[in-house]
Amino acid sequence: MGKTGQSLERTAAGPRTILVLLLAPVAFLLLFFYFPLGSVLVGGLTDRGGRFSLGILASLLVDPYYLRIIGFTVGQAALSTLLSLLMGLPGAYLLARYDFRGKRLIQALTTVPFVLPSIIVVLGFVRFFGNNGILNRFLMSLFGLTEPPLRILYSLQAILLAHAFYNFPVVVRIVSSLWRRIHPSTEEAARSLGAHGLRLFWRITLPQILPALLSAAALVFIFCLLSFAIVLVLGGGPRYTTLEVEVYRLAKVSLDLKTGSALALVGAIISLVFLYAYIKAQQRSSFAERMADDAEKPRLGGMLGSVRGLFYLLYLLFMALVILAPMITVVAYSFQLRSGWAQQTISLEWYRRILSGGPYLRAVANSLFFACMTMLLSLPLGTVLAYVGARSRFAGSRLLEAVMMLPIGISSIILGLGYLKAYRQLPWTIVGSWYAIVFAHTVIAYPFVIRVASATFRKIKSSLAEAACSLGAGPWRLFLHLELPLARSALITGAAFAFGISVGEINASLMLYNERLITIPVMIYRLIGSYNFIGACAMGSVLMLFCFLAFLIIDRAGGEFG
Amino acid sequence: MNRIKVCSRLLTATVAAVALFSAATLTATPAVEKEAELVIYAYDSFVAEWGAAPLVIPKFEDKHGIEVQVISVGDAGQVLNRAILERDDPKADIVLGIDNNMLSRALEEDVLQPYRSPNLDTIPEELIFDSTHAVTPFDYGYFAFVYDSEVLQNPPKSLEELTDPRFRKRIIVQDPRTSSPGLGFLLWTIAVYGEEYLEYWKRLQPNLLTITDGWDTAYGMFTSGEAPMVLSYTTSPAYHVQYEQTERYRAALFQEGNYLQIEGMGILKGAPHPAAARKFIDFILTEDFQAEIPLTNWMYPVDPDTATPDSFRFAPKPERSLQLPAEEIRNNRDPWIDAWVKQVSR
Repeated sequence: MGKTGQSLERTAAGPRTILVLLLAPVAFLLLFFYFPLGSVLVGGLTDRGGRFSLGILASLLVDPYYLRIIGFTVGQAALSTLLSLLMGLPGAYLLARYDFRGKRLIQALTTVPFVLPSIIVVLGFVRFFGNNGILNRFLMSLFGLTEPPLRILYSLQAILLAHAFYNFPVVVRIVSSLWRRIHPSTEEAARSLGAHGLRLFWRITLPQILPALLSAAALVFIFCLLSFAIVLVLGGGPRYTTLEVEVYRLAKVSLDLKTGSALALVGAIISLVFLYAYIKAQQRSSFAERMADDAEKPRLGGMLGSVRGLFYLLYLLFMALVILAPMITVVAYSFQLRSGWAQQTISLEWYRRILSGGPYLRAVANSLFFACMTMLLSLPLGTVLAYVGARSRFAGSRLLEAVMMLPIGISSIILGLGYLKAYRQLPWTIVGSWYAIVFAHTVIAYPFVIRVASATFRKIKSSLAEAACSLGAGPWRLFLHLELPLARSALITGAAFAFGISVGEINASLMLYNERLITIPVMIYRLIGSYNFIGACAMGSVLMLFCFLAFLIIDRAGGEFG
Repeated sequence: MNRIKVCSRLLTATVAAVALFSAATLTATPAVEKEAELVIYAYDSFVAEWGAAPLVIPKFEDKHGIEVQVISVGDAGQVLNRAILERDDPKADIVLGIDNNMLSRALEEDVLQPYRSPNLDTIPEELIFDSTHAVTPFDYGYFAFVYDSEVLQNPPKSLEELTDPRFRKRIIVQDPRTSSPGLGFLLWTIAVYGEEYLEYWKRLQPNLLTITDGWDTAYGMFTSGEAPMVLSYTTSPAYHVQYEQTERYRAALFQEGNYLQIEGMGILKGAPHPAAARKFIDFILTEDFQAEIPLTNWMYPVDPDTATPDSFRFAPKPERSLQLPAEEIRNNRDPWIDAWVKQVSR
């Protein structure tokens, strides 16, 4: 590994190239992430007199209450990640190795939960899996029961299930985008030598997909670290509390920014430690090997008679239940005229209102605009940083890479506060401008591009680059004509996630928007806050539809890799 | 290769079209806004299309010829937060949404300047919750348990009855760490049970289905039928009567009394337009403002002469209203919440 890495460093990206490449992204991040973040976090590191002090931080770390919360936060995130990986792997395999009708549709559809505001997820879950939800009502009428048979919600399992619902699409997307680039010939060779089943997977397949698997795990883990509403509501109350609840309490309810930012700092450090560990693990596992063009894939339809085919079918059905059911419940709710169950009245009232223009259409237009801008900004930003991270070795480069990923480990409440606090001294107001929202969204979204792209950049065989260099290609040509096209599939996945994150972002938007800049999630938040749950579900359905279409288009644009 | 190009172009074209379309709608409103002559920070639901602002602000602008800008800064907690954050260089004149539970914090931070409106003379004494007149009340309401009358024929009549085993796992409340009704309910139990409030929560706990982060989730779960009872406001049923023509949701009044919430607004120290701000404070106590409160903010107007709409027959007022002194809340809120978290985490 070390040897190929060094030769690449010489050929592809010398120190000067790296500096030039890094200039714009680092400047952007300094201005729009570290500066605002620092202006809030510094409060947690200074005493009342403004002197540097670790007092607040230390007092948090000896408080048994906070220690318990930190322990639970990390523990539930680890379990949720494991479950998301287990649920996502078969899906990634199916998408990478088989062709079937509606594959694109499924791919676009599974990414939708990822962008939904958590309150819509909670409502969808409760209406489907709840004690009085569709599933229990159906079972009760089927078997003539008087009590709901399935008590799924308000437990640790419910938290894990909802997190898996939210995050396993991340696993499917990221892992399949690498998996489909790995030629099945190695597996075929191993199979012909007698390796089967788990052994084949463990010894041959797993090492090859490991970089993507670790990428996905890191993202899911950090997402679950920051989880908040799902843990509290579906867990059944304060018994299950994550760090984010306390950050929220301190920053927004107790108005204690000092302790709040100290606690946010603890969260950031935990994220950083995990990111660093995972980047090290990823580097150890990454190795250069052949990037294959896709071979002909078997069609899934022809296998339905076999045991294996049956298993796939069951998996897809299970996924449909976990993923689609809560979403369909939300859509169904949006056609009601009144709150409650057993309503005969089906109404298009809310859709009429949304289409009649005014603020609803404006929210839709704004959300799409912000999402497109976020995608356009975070794609080059993340690509460059991922490229440099994958191609350069210098002292502390891993730590730097972890630090570059930090935005996903930072609560967006803290980020929003930072924007409010940091830019007050500027001669012009950034708050209330469209670019403030786009910049905040970009900061939240670009780490996804990095993770997806770097998993692929690391897999590009070094001999390919060396061959190109020996033929006279300079670093730029090498990047533009060889490495970029090879990473295309991953970049498209990254773009889709950037789009999705922007469309679904609420906390920072809520602090930075004004009437003209209202977005769909802010509108949903408003509607729910004013008894309009049906309207919120209608708006949520519109959000789902647009994401679905957007993911479909993004996929199509990169469709030549199938 | 051709397909790649076609697809890339398709993507670029879509992105460009969306960007253009959105840019057009963004700039459709006048690019150069008239310089505002009064700036108000308010919580989001006040500013929303169906909130009070679109109805009352034009009235004020017409009457006084003052250009008003209302800025939403999230929920009520954030209104005060923003004012504290900008204390050195206030961008706004008025902060709207400081309630009786937040008052001591606002006074302690010293971000408001007192102004006693002459229109306060007609307002009942017990609603004027800030004797220094830094905050002027504009509406009030009571926390209450709202129930689904199609499921519960025999609703609870007291706080104590909420602990009855027949309500096992049938109540949803909110977390005082993240929600203002949640905090209101915690204070309510303290106002009734004093030192024994944790004992009460211990008895109540088997009946709680879950404790949510915010009112919105709790109420959404309630109207989804997940539980027949939820912590909300006495005015909640009026919404369903007014807009859904259904009387199935009712508010339960309790023998011990219901906890009172009064909302007010205040003028910021160093406000750029203090004269206009004082005019606005006078305005909120007039019929023009007060009459719009019930159906937009879902609270009672503080002016006793303002009539409430017919649907407010389903928004009953309790005979006894409960409140803790602002100072006591300020001093004990965090220890109370901490002890509460320990109790309900068991």
